[in-house]
Amino acid sequence: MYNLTAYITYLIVVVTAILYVGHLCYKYGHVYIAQIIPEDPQLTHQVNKILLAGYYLLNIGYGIYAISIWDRLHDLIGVIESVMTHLAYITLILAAMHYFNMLVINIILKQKSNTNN
Amino acid sequence: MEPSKIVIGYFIYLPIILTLTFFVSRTLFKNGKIFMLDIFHGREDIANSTNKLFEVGFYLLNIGFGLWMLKISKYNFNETYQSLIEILSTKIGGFSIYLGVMLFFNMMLFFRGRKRSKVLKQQSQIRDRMFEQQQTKQ
Repeated sequence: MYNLTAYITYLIVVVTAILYVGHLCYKYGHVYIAQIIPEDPQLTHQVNKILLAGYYLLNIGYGIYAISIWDRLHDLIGVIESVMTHLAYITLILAAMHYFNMLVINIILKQKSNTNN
Repeated sequence: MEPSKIVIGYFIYLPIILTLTFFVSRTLFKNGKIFMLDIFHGREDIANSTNKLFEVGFYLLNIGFGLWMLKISKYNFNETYQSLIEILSTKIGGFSIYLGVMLFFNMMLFFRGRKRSKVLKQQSQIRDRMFEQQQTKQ
């Protein structure tokens, strides 16, 4: 029973967070991709969409996998602790991926500006 | 009820870290937009996007870290309000210090980007001037 409560809370929060962050990155990342591929707006749009799909698959995949490695819970404290710890893991993974992505985009933009000069 | 004090601790800790993160990030990125406009030479769209993406990263990192620190181990908790307050103050204090470090780190990034974009602008101006001089010589 405690496990079930934990799963439901966890899934609701995780899926909402992943969808929201993905939406934000999709919306604001468009400018960057448009800068990398300025000649073809259609391709820019498609690339952005594929990136979003990959992001969703990876993160929701991990989010659901986390349920399979959940401990047995016996009280309310266990529920709060386990839900928050798993949320922390997935948020930290998201943060790491986000910073990594920004780094990669930065490197690509720098290379592009170097070749242009 | 034996474990109830730890639950009280969690319900105090969670809102505090969430509001702290929210206020710090709001202050930082409300003012960060000016830096971004400076870094990208007034190009509104990319400055806005960069600012927003940094904000998302800041939120994810800090809330993730805050949630990760949440767990109060039963080992050093002896079911008194005194020990609850002591543990909570350690956790919240540690989180605030961490948040302060992150704030200064982000500000350092802003200042560095601003400096770099200034240098790049000067270089391109010098290059343009040299190009013009060559043109006039010819």
